[in-house]
Formats: sequence, C-alpha cells, structure tokens
Amino acid sequence: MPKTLFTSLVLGAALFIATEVWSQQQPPIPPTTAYGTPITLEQAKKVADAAEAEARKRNMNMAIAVVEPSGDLVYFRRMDGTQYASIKIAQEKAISAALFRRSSKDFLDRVAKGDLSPMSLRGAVASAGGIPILVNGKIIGAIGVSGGADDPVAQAGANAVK
Amino acid sequence: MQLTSAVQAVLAAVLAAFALGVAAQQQNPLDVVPDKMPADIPYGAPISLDRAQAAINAAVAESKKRGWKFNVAAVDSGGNLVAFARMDGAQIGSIVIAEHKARAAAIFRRETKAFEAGIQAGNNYLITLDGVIGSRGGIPLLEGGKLIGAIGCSGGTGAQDEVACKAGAATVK
Repeated sequence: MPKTLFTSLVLGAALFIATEVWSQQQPPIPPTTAYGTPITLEQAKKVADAAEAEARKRNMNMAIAVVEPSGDLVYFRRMDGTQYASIKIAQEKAISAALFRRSSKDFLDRVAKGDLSPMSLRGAVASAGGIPILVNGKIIGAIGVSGGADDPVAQAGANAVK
Repeated sequence: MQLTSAVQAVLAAVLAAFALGVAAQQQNPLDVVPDKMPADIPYGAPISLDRAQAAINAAVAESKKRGWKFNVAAVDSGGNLVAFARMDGAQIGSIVIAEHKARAAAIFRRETKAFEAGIQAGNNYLITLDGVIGSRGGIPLLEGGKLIGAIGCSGGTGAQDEVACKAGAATVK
C-alpha cells in the first residue's frame, strides 16, 4: 500500500475513534417531552392494577408506586410478600422517571457503558423499573416498580392509560 | 408586734404562694411509676394489601362524603408502607404527614392523638422522640386485640383527619 494512503487510513481511523469516544462522553440531550396535567387517583389506580396484573402473571411480588410530574406520591401498593427494600426503591424509580422525563433504565444503560455521571445526580436511579406515564403525548406522572421483573411490569402499568 | 391588717393579708398571700410553689415542685407526674406499661398491645401478623386498601378506601369514602381531600397511608405492624392514596387536590405537604401519622400509630401502638394531647398538656419531651408526630389522625389497626398495622390521614385539620381515618380503622376489628 502507498505510504500516503496508509497514513491517511490510520489518521482516519484515529479520528473516527476519537469522535466516538468524545460523543460517548457527552451526556445525551434531555428529552423535551412536555409535562401535562398531573395524574389523577383514578388513573393511578388503573396503572397500578395493570402493573400488578403483569406481576401476578409472572408470579412476582412487587411494590408499585405512581407519582405526579413533580415526583410527589399519588398512589402506592406493596403486594404481600414483597421484600421491604422495594418500598423505597419503587418510589425512587418513579421519581427518577418523572423528574428526568425518561426511563430509569436509560441511566442504567449509561452506567453500564462506563458513564458514571448519572450516579452523581440526586434523584437519578440507575436501575430499570421507572417509566414516565404519557397521555396525549404529555408526561402526567411516572410509575416505579421493584421486587421482580421491573421494566415489563412498569411498562404494563404505563400502557394502561393513554 | 402589731401588724396592720393590710400587711397581714399580704404576708398571708406570700406564704400561701410559697407553699403552693413548693407543693407544685414536689409533684412531677413523670416521677410516678405505674404498675402496668401503657399501650402494651401484642403484635399480630402484618396487615395484607387487600385489608390495607379496604381501610384506605373507607377513609377516602368518608372524606368524599364531606367534600374533603386527604392523603391516606396504611402501614403494617412494623411501620412499613403497605398502601397509599392521594385524593385529587389533596395538599402536597400532607403526603409525608399521612405516612408519618400511620407509622407513629403503628410503632408506638397508640393513636397519635395521645402525642397531641401530651404536648398540649405540657409534656414537651414528646417532641424529642424520633418518629413521634404531635397531631391526631394516626390510628392503629387492631385485629382481635393485636396490632396488625395503622392508618394515617392528613390534609385538613387534625380533627377532620381523624374522622376520616377512624372510618378507615373501623374496617379492621
């Protein structure tokens, strides 16, 4: 191979790797989904019912929390036999999903890739199971679950209201 | 020495006040040692989710009847949160208060009214105890005389909170 071609290939590869590393180190732009009217107790119950049904289908005992966009608790239930640690964790996941307008799994994914910055953010939970609840494309609250198959159960809950 | 009646009256008053003062200092009710412990209620199995929700629903129904909007929390015998509901429009600051009242009623095995009354009566030491809340509205849930949990309401005045939560507590016997 001619020397100049080899050099440019090496330089090109180096540039490519550098920009990849650089872009992975930049935090993603936060989602810009708008907040809507805070979730009602009725809606929260529907969400929790759907999540609980999914948990039962999978033979799991879980804690389920629903918060409004500000993170304030609207509804909570702990299925009999759920580990006590899940009481707080379910709430924290819901709050994370509401305050940061994204699934808590997003933070888990970033940490898994080596970006530990979410761990320094108060309220961010780097664990799957917190999902925003959207109605008419606006975030009206969030669900957080803990104690079993977190994301599928949370998603089943979030899907209960549109 | 012959004292005028006015001076005699003043002297008598001063002596009486002194005597009363000494008497009051000698009677600290906290020094009394009763034979039985207060609130010595045995623990039962932790309340189930279904029964906790039934209690909350009864409290919510009572609130709706009166046009009140409350936060209602139910905890188990260990004070762990089992269920919670915030009625639409209920005061945000009352969310943690409802939980606090429920937990206090469970872990101290008495209505939180006891703390409110105690503080009102001058027993300010109650405020120094972790977990205590000086407002009525937290009610233990007793089944067959055993403590299985507690319910707490907050959002209105203490007296209103208590009405709602007593309705909730009535679902557990």
